[in-house]
Amino acid sequence: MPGRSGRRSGPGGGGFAGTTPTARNWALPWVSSRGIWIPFPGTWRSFDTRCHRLLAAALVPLGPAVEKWKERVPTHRIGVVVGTSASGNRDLERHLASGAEGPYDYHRRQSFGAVAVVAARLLGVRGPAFTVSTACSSGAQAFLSAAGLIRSGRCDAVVAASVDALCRTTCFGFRSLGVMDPDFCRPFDGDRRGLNLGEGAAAFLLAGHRPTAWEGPDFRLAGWGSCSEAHHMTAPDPEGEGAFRAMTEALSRAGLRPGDVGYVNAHGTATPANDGSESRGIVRALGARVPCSSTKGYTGHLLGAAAGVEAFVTMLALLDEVLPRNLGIEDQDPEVQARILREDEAAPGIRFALSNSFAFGGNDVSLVFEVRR
Amino acid sequence: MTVAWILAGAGRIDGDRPVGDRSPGCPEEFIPRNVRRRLSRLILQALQVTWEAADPGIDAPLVFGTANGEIETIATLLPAVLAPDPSVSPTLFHNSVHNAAPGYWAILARRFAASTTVTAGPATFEAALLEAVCRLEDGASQVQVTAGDEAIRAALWADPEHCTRDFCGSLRLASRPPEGGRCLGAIEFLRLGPPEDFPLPEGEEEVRVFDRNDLPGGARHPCGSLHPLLEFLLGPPGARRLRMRRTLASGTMLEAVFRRESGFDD
Repeated sequence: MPGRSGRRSGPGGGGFAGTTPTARNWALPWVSSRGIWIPFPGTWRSFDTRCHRLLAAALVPLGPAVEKWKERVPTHRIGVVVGTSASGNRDLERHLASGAEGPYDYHRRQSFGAVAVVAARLLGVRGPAFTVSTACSSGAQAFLSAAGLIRSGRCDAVVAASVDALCRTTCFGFRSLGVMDPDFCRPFDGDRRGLNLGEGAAAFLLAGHRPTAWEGPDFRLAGWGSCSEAHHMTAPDPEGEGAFRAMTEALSRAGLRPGDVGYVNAHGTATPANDGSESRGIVRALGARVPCSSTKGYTGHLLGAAAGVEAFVTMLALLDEVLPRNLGIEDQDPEVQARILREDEAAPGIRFALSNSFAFGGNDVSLVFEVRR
Repeated sequence: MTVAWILAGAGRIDGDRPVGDRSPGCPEEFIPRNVRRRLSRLILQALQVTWEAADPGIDAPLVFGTANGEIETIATLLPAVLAPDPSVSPTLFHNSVHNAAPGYWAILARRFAASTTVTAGPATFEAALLEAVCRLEDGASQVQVTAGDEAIRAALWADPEHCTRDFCGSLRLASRPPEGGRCLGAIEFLRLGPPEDFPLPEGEEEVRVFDRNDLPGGARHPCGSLHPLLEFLLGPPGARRLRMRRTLASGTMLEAVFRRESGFDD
């Protein structure tokens, strides 16, 4: 583990400014210049899992923005929703494998609800805090729940985060399904053999309005769609019916026509079943000309964190007006009719982009983002 | 002011004991035998109560609340996962996700509406109810909220004392009063805020629930606060209103007041 000394160094070493009494009861996380090192001393130690460290690393850069909101509204008006599919499974497995005896703090280390508690206490906010867990669409569902809290008027701002730490259960579980590529994954390639797994976290601050004196661009969650496929627990509908429904609803909510979407960040796991199904759904919902790419060739499939990280990639594409290429593709599957980007592509003036996330249980979510420069 | 109407409800303790006396009973053929044998007790009971509170003609979004999810399935998987040469059952693996029950519900009931799974420790039902109400307020005409957990038996690392019995319940909520006015009750309001902002009104004749998760007999349960609500709605007539309160882990208080409709049996 880099930076194991735990010294408070590196570019992120400032911690949060103006912490509340709630947050002062907890240790502040730090990101070292050589990687993630977030000490959990004292009362934090019982929460110290890799999942919570990853989450804290994603929350650190968000701290100053949350502090600004805490100056504007009471802390109980700021909520937290975190998506995860595995929570503390990784540390539980290590605990059991070590043969360690003694009680295991299930509620703080393993319970899925703990990730939202950790996030709320790290940020020093007191609004509603809960976890959503819908496997690989968890991070997208966190956006939906956060938006719901704001639109209902019960929160002024909500942190929507997502996190997953890689564990043996996930690795060997996907292996048992025969969908792991031992080499780098190749989304939408005719010779794709499956996914690569990864771990990570992402966090966003959502608010009902753009604050005055806000500098620079911001993004709007312009629309979202969510549906159940009602087809199979792991296999997608071959015709992409669920993907089509989710994208169509997202467009409708955003008040957009298919041609308004300038980029699709596809779920694109590189499994034979997903990519063909998703391509059919994209072509039906948005046409065959919209530029698409899966960015799982760069990150692997981050499971519960995938939607959050890919939302971030989608926003970067909007901000930079450059669409990322679909890393790993050589010969596009002839069954895939969607326009898959083989190279980075300039997209001057792009305003709307859509990100797909699909999951076990047929839980499909599409998010539409708008950049406002 | 009413934020939601409660059109139907169902609950089961220990798998086969219905809460109240209005349960129609889920038909066996709804869950085919070859599917049933693969399901955890949590999935099975969640499917049963969701069916019992559902309207066959309405494809309502489902909010599923569960604190521990498929903890028993994970406990079954772990020895294989930790073995030197792991060999994992693919069925157990895809059944181990928190949203397994909503996934099976969609497949078996042919429901295409959205679903999500919410988890918040001992405030799991309250968080699921909050999510459901937010969805109603955001335009859904009906939302079904199902919450439950199975008794922890095999998971030796967990704290089994916080969940010693199987319990699942379901409510079907609507954003408008039903035609003809027949419903179980209503949610008069659901609000959040600092506990000090919510003094208890004096002199109200109503049942009050204070941060308790006990099932009958004193058994603790993460979704136990749903049980007195179901008894209030489905059991013999008693108090007219029920106030639910819980201080969430982040420090804010959730308070909801439920009203029982007296004319349901007329």
